[in-house]
Amino acid sequence: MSNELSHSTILKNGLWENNTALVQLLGLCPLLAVTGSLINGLGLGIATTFVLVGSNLTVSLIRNHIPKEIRIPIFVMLIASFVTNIQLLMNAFTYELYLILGIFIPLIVTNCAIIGRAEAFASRNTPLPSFIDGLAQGLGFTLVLVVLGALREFVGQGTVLDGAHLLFGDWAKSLTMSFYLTDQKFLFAILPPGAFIGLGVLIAIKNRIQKN
Amino acid sequence: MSEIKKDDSEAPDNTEAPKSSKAPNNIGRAISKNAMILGVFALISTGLIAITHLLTKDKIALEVELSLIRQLSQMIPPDDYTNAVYRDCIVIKDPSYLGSNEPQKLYRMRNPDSDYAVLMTSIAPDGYSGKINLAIAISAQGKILGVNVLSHQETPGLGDKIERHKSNWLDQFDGLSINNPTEKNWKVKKDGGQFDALTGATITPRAVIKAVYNGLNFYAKNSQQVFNMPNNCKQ
Repeated sequence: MSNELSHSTILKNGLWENNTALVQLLGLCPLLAVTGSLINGLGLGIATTFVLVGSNLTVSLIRNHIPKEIRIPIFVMLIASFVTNIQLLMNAFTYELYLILGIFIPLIVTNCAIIGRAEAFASRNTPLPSFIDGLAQGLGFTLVLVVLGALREFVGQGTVLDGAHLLFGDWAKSLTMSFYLTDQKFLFAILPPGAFIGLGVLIAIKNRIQKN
Repeated sequence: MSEIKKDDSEAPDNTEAPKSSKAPNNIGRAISKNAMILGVFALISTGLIAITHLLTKDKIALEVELSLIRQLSQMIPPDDYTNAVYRDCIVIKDPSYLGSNEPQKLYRMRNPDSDYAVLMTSIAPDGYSGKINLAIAISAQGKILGVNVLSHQETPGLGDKIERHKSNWLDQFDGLSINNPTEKNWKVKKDGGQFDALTGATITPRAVIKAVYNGLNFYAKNSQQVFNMPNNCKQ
């Protein structure tokens, strides 16, 4: 199977054709929960991509040594320990980033896209394609998080890239774009219903583009 | 292993009878083999976490301490006191006022002729998703100089607005003391108090307000002793 898919096909699949969020509709819990702003979406996207690449690579490396019947619990254990290790390492060595992304990291465990990729791709392919698949799926997921986050932030509070300095440092404060000022935020967009409708709109747009 | 495999490959050709006579033995063997493999993986993954934990434990504690110190300089200008605050610290423990059985730290700020303020850590045990670690700066007279959230797991986008760089919600506490406002006003407006809640999150502010009030109570009870106790934080 690994020979059938070229690397560019894997990339295209992850980013567009078989996008985690827009086509597979996986990982909706963290997706809907954190996309209140672009930066939050980007933060979760980066953390998820990291875990996806790592778990895909590990699963692919050990795929020939585990019995088929118990592969799922083994994947679950691997992913959980991977996430915990990343959390500890980030806490120790990138403390500032951890304070920002830290709350997203436990959420990654609830993302079924990761075990989905382990099962559907990494357990059947050699390490290199699995690595690329993890990267592509992660980036595709990040892309949707960022677009949805930007959309909700723009409609909800009239800004885009608010809080960019949390992720990139103080220079990024100037990146924040304010389109209209409002005391009364448009809560509908910021709260969960806005996330569902925003995602629906994105899926509709994607289907439309694909039809033409 | 080889026996199980052989049996599988033969299965379609065989009749039911000889297979069922062999099956229980093989099932038992397969179960114990898989259990072994699962056990090994469980050992490896927990082992890895344990090793990472051991390797990062001290570094994390150090980072937490450093971050506390950075936050302190945001709440109280370093020029307002003269002692080396990071070395002037005691361990405090009071489950009823500090939110848990875990020991907390209290740093003391002094001037040559007077005590200036304390910075104490405390826990709000009843956040929406677990504990919220707080740092509360209180002047020697019992006024709040600032409150900061050290770490929490509140919902991103809702409860996490308690963080200082996400909203100015924490500023509400500045200047308050145990009798200002009175006890019944130490609540969110929804519960009849004077504090604003956060959009979409009421449990988080409730927990923080309660913990800050309890912290003030702790200080009020112990304000005599805390400045006189000898340093006992491990450095």
